[in-house]
Order: sequence, then structure tokens, then C-alpha cells
Amino acid sequence: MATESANGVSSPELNERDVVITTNDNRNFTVKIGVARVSKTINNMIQDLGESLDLSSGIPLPNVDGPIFEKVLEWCEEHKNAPEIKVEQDPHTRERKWFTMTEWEEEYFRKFLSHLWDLAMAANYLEIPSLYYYTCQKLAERIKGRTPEQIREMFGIEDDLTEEEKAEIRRTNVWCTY
Amino acid sequence: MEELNAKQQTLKTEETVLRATLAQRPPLPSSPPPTVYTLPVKRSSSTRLSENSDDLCTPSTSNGNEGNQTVKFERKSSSPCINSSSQEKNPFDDLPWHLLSQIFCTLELKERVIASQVCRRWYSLLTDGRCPLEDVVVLNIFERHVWKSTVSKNAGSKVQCIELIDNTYLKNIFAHCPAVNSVKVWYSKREFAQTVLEKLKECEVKMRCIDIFPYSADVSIELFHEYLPNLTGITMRPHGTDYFWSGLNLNTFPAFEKLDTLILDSFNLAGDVELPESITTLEWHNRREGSFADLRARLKKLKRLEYLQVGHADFSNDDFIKFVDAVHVSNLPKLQYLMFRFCKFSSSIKKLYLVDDSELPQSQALDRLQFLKLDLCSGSLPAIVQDFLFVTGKNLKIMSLNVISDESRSLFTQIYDNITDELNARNVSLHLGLLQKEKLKSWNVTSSENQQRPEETPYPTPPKNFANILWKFEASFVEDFPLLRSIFMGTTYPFLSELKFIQCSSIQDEILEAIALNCPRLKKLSLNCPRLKKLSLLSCNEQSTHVGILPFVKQCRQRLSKSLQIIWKRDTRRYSRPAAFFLSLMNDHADLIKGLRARFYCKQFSDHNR
Repeated sequence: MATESANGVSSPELNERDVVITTNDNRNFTVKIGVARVSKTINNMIQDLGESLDLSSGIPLPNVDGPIFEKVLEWCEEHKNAPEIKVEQDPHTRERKWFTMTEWEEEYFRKFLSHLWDLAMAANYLEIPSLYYYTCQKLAERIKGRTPEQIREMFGIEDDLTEEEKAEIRRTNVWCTY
Repeated sequence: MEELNAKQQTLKTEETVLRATLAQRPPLPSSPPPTVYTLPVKRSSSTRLSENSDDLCTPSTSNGNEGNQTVKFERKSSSPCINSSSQEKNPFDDLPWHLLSQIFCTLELKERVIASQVCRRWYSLLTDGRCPLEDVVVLNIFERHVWKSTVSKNAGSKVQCIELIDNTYLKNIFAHCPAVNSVKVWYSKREFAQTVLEKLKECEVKMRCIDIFPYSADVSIELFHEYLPNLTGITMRPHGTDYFWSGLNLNTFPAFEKLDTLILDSFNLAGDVELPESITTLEWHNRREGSFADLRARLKKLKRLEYLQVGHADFSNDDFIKFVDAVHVSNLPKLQYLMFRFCKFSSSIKKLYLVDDSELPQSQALDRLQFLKLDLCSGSLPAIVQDFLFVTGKNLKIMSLNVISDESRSLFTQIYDNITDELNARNVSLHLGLLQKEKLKSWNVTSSENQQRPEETPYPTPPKNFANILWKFEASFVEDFPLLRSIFMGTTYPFLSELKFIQCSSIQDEILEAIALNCPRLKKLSLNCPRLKKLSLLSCNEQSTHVGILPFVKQCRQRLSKSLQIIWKRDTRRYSRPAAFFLSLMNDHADLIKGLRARFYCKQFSDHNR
């Protein structure tokens, strides 16, 4: 199972060893294994390689570029010992509970506000649940309380609905005024 | 005749009082776990749009399933290249849909409608069922007239409605919640029900059950079958005072082939009506005299029945025997749960036959029965219990009795003597619920001084056997301090696992301490309730403070159960008390909980019942 947590090769000594990770723009990052395996994708690769893992030749990440991976690494360093996050529902209303973020996490997202979608994509590919869910929450926060025009503008989305179509959505949802 | 009418009248008044009291109670224990449902509905090819423009609809949320969901990660789409330069083009084009669905799942209906106007892709993601509104459990759909004239006027109703000017717009709502637990339809006109059903079918809304609440004699149940033939659960209750005592006539019941749960409240079945044989769970309530015979004749055909609840039925004379014969294990081999609410029992089997027990055909007639509940039934409790023990067998594990406790010392003599001994001999556990119906005069603390208290006969002391069979105890509105004192002071309950007090001003520190603390002579059995896992105190006397709770914490290490959950509900003015207790626990009694894990959960309630 790709989602299983590390076992077998999870000794503390191994976590302290370095591994080289190469992004798609050929940048090499030397990372402690304990930090790198916050990403389940990388952890799986380390596990798969097992004995044959050559720490110096590196793990290639053809889907992530250097500038984004740098930001992701910052997250991994901070969360290397963090427990798995849980998606919780309010048992009363069945509403999804919002995650409470630490000051460090809030600051992280403030710093990389314009890279939220890149982070979400990278977290998705690298399988970092905390980063993935928190980024999605940040994106949702930015959508709430805004008009379609504002949302489009904020995220640079092209308006491909015709005026008639938009009028139809508004007409059939007249109860919803904003 | 007059006497009969007068009797009927008293019964009605009594019930009204009871209903008012019960309305304040939290929900009763739920039925056995429902099976998992999926409802395949084929898309309708003909789309008739109703022009009816005076209807109204609201989706609303309500209690859902508890529990956490651990993170499950999916990577469904191929991962495109992630470049920091992608900001220049539309970033959301690159986001796989399940990532967008993560974002959308935190939006409310209104925000979703706004977001659906952003672009074509967002529109389809939000309305094609891929990213449904997750938290809509119950979808209430009211006919405008029904809402305006009745439901919206209910006291304390804070339900927010979404008003639709045209029924065809129901589709727009359904698009956001394609799978719900139940849909409730409140209607008076057949045409309205038809439109709703059409749209439900057209939008392929999946549901666990549908609740049918007609406000007129035109139930049109056949329409529900026509549009949703594969329904698995149905609740039916006519609304309006007209049908409360008399019931509403149901002239047909369609052959829903997959129906497993049916709740029929206040319906009279016409002569040739058959209920679907697939039913496993059935509830029947009808206040019309003699109405239970309607159901009894049909019961024996429901071979798959596992759970049966009967309300307001009269089992006087030989009606009880007829009932036992109908649900006999040879007819209903799977029947395990049987409950009676507000039922009337009068004569016992033995009195009727005057012969030796084992000779009777009813002996162990309900051999498979595991759980039996008598909820506020009238008649001689020991005689009823005796009858049920006679017709059941070794599978019976739990007898649940809910009784009115109003200063009735003889009731407890009955429970402690006859009932306890019989249950104990049969190894049946007791769940006991006490409900106080009327305010006590004798124990009103504020009563004037010259008012003499009536002579107090002390409550009997529970015998050892009672302590051994009591597994759950619940008391509602009980002000009678001597009663609770007689039950809990000085008696050890080795198996009591759940204890619940609902608005009991009589629950004082003294009693809580008695429940938690040592019995002086039983040093080793240090707790009265060593297996107690859950203690609920809902809106009880403000006198019961953390002084009473603290002993539970003190005794934690000697407990047999590893965890203790204390549920503490206060009204708004005293809202902070549980938190204050928790803080004092952390600050002043840190030594007590050292090495233990204590957590404080705050449960949110909606505005009007906070």
C-alpha cells in the first residue's frame, strides 16, 4: 500500500542520514531522510529502494521544481515529528471541522500566499497530508465571502460562461443573493 | 358508556401531560443499527415541469454520524508538471478535480452557488455530484402552505428556509446534495408531492429513507412507489390535529420490494392492505381504540422482522395472547427486539388459563427475543414482566423498564421483590428508567412553613439481587431526593455501566459522592459503580457541583473500566461551570490526574437550545 507509513527502514540512525533529491530543474537538495519522508511519496521510494538506496546519487522528482520544493522542505522540516492529521467532522452537524493552525503555519501561508496552488499541487504529488489539507483550507478561506468576479480576479480564472448561462444560474438560484 | 368516555378523557389528558414531558427529553435509545443502503434510480426520460409556483423548500442539516475520518489520500489524476511559473496562467486549470473538491467541501450552499458562477469547470464540479455538500443529512421539503400555516409557527422553530419561487428550481438544490440520509416531504396536495418526487428521481438523489408527512387525507402513497420503487426506509405520520386520535385511513400500501424499515404512526390500514414482506424493522403507533388488531393480522406474514415497536396498543383480555401467537417464533423466527410504548396490559396469561405454565402453547413462544422494553406502559408491572418472562426464552438478555416514579413506594417494592428475583433467576439484565411526571408537593423546598409534609414512608432498600442485575439507570425530572438516596446510598452496583440524570434537581453532591465513593464496609470494592463508563448530567440541579464529581476522579485508579466520560450540560447562565471544573482539576488537583489523560470537549449546540 502506497499510503502505509514507514516501517522496516525507520531506524533513528537512518533518519539522520542525508539523501539527495533532484528536482526537475536539476537542482540538488541534500535533505535528512527523517525530513524527506514527511512526503509519503519520497518515503515509499526510500523503502522500495531499501538496501540498494544510493544516498549520494539521489532521488529524482520529475514533477516538482526547485523553488516550490524549497518551500515544501520548509514545511517538512517543521512537521518531521508531527502526528498524522485527522479530518474531523462535527458529530452534531456533520460539518467538516476547520483545522486549527499554529502560528508557524499561519506565517508560512502568509509568506507563500501567492503560491498556494503550487503548494497544493506539490503536496498532492508528494503526498503530504498536512500541507495538502491546510493549503486547501487556505484556498477555501480566500473564496468565502467573495463574488464570482472577485474570485476570478484573485485566482486569474478566465470567465468562460456566457452572460446567458450566468443569468440562468442566477435566475434559478434567486434565493441566493449576494 | 359515560364512564367509558370519562375514562377515555382521563387517558387523553394523561397522555397529553406525558407527551409534553417527553417532548423535553433527549432522544430514546436508537433502534438496531440500520443496514447500509444504496438506492439506484434510473434517470427519467420524460421531464415534466410543474408550473405550480406556490411551493417552498429547505435543505437543512441535522445530526449525523459520529466519528472521525482518517485521512485517505488519493491521486486519481496523472500529475502534471508543477512549476512556480504556473501562476501566470489559470492556476485552477492545473488542479485535479479532487483537490478542488477538497476546497469546495468547506463551502456552504450559498457560497457554492456563487462559486458555480466562476467558470464552466467549477460549475460542473459543483453541480454534477462529484463534490456534494457533505453535511446535508436531512432534506426537508415543505409545501409553502404547510410551512406558512403550521411548521414555521412552531414554538422555538428557528429553521431557516430557502424559499423557491418555482418548483423546478428544486433541481438546483438537489444538484448540490445528491446523497442524503433522509428526505422529508411535508405536503397537503398530491401535485406538490409529485413534483418533489419527479425532481428527486430526475436528479438521482440517493437517500436512506423518505419521511412522508401528509397534511390532508390525500396521502398518495402510490406516487412514492411510482417514482422511488426501491426505497429502503419509510416513515409516515399524518400531521394536523384531525388525525391524532382517529388515525388517517391508508387504503393501499404499494409493494416496495426493498423496504426494510417502516414506521407507521397514526395510520389505519384498510382491509386488504398488505405490508411488504421484506420489512425487518417496524414501528407502529396508533391511538385509535382497537387499531392494533389491524396490524396484528398482518404481523405473522412479516417473516424477516427483527425489530418491532408498538405504541398505544391495548393488550387487555386475550389480546395479549393473540399478539403472542401472531409473533410466535414459528411466524417471526428473527424477531429479537420488542418494545412497547404507552401500551396497556391488564390480565396475565396465567390468570386467563389457570393451568400449569409449561402446558401453555405460549411458553417460550418468543424464544429468540433478546431485548424487551416496556416504556411507560400501564398495568401491573410485575404481572407484565412475569408474562414476558414466560413467553420468552434463554436468549432474553435485557429487560428495559421505563416507569413513572412519582412518590410510589409500592412500585419499588414490586421492582425490588418480584421483578428483581425473576430477572435474576433468568439472568436478564435490567435497564431502569425513572420519569417523574408531576412536580412533587411534599419535597418543594420553597413551600411555606405551615404546610405539613405528609408522613414519609421510607423507600425500601434495594436488595443485593437488584444491584446485580442493574446495568443501566436513567432518571428524568426526578426531584425526589429520598428516592435517589434509597437507590444509591449504601448500595454497591457492580455491573452498572451507564448512569444518566436528566434535569434531576434531586441529584446532589451527596448522591454523586455515594455513587463514586467507598462503601465503608467494602474496602476492596471501592466504588459503588466500578464499571461506570459514562455519567451524564443534563441540566440538573445547580447544587450538584464539582464537589460531587471530584470523587469520580479521585477513584479513577481503582476503577475497573479504563475510561470515564462525564457529560455535563448547563444552561447558558451556568455555561462556564464544567470548564471551571476542568480548570480546577488541572490546577488544584493535578496530583489526582497525574499519569491520566483528561480531555475537555465542548459540544456546540444550535442557537435556540444552547
